[in-house]
Amino acid sequence: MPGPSGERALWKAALAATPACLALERFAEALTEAERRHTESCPRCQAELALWQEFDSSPATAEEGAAVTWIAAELKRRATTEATPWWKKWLFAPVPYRLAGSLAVLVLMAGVALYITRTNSGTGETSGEPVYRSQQVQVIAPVGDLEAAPAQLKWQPVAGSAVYRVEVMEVDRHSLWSTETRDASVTLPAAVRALIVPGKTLLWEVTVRNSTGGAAASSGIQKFRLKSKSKLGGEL
Amino acid sequence: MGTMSPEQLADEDLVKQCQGASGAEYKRLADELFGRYYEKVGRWCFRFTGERESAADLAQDVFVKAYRHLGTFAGASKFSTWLYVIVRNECFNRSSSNAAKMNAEGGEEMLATIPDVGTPSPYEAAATASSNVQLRALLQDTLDETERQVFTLHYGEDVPLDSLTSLLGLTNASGAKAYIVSAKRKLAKAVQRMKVKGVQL
Repeated sequence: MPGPSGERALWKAALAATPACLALERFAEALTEAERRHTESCPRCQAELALWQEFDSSPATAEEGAAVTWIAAELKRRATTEATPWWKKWLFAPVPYRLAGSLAVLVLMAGVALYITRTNSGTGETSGEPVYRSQQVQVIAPVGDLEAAPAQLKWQPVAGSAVYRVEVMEVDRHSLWSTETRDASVTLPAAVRALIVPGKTLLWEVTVRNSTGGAAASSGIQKFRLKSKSKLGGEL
Repeated sequence: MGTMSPEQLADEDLVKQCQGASGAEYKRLADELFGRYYEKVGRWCFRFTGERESAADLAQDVFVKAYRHLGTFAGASKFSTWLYVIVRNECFNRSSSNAAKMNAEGGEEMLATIPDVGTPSPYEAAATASSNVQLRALLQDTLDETERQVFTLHYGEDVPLDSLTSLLGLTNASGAKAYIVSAKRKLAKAVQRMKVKGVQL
């Protein structure tokens, strides 16, 4: 039986939009007969339609009223505030604020100058996190046509990496499963392995994330496929 | 015929004027257009987050995106649905990333706190199903309208149950969680009946 993540992946795949599903923009229009028939039999379109109707026509309840009024006022305030150019705010700010601001700018400039001086006077080496922006993650397996369904995804470890994000996708890039790990391999859950059937191509990608969560290097999209039974040289 | 003020224009006409304007004029027209939706978007975001400050931040992100992409609005749909798509996607993308984070951290499934409905689990059926079409049909034939909506949005789009309770205007005591529980129970029974009849999913 698949684990919780596998269960979610299976239902997610079953409930993904199909080519017959309505574009969200259609919900405000009069539906055609074909669209109406599809919606009557499609849980996804029914749910999306219900959400749109709630957005379009459901008034705020008594409990929500005050909060919604506050949010609308806040949005208006932010829009007005952000319309004022920074230099204008600066120009009309009280003198103490302007003096403090000037001092802050001077300190910042001094700091930058010091940093540049120290960097240039050294050996040219920089300290801190390794940079792997130009690096690629080298995958080990699975890639290409396979004789047996893989149990794991493996790649060459990247020095200094914080965490690897791994994603398995359909050929249309629809995500089937993803996870994060500090190891250079992950074991595929049973639910994902169940999706690896002969002749069906799946994609996967591993991305290195640095300590700030940014993507620093990637394997690029990798493809693999379990060979069709008819191609197994008479094994059947 | 005199020129209509921005306040008098329909949304779609106002968008056209925005697209032909620049600088302060663009800002003035866009503010008028978006101001019409502050409450509607704010209400949706409040229902999604359940907290007014984060709802205001979320709504602001929505309007920033709309502001940036207003030039791409081609008029093929109503402006309100165009804006709705941005709101919906912004919210659902946050749900998906939060759900992925929970899974990646080995955190518990959102439904783990919901009582097990016994065997056979509907997920067993899902695991062996040969076709997504059959799974959709199973949902359609087995669940009532609200159960289908909750199940579809929770599993299909990772929308948290608390958010669904508010977004769908559910007023029962346990909200969306109750509908998930009843949906799982019904699906389990349906699968059991199908097995007895020898029907393969």
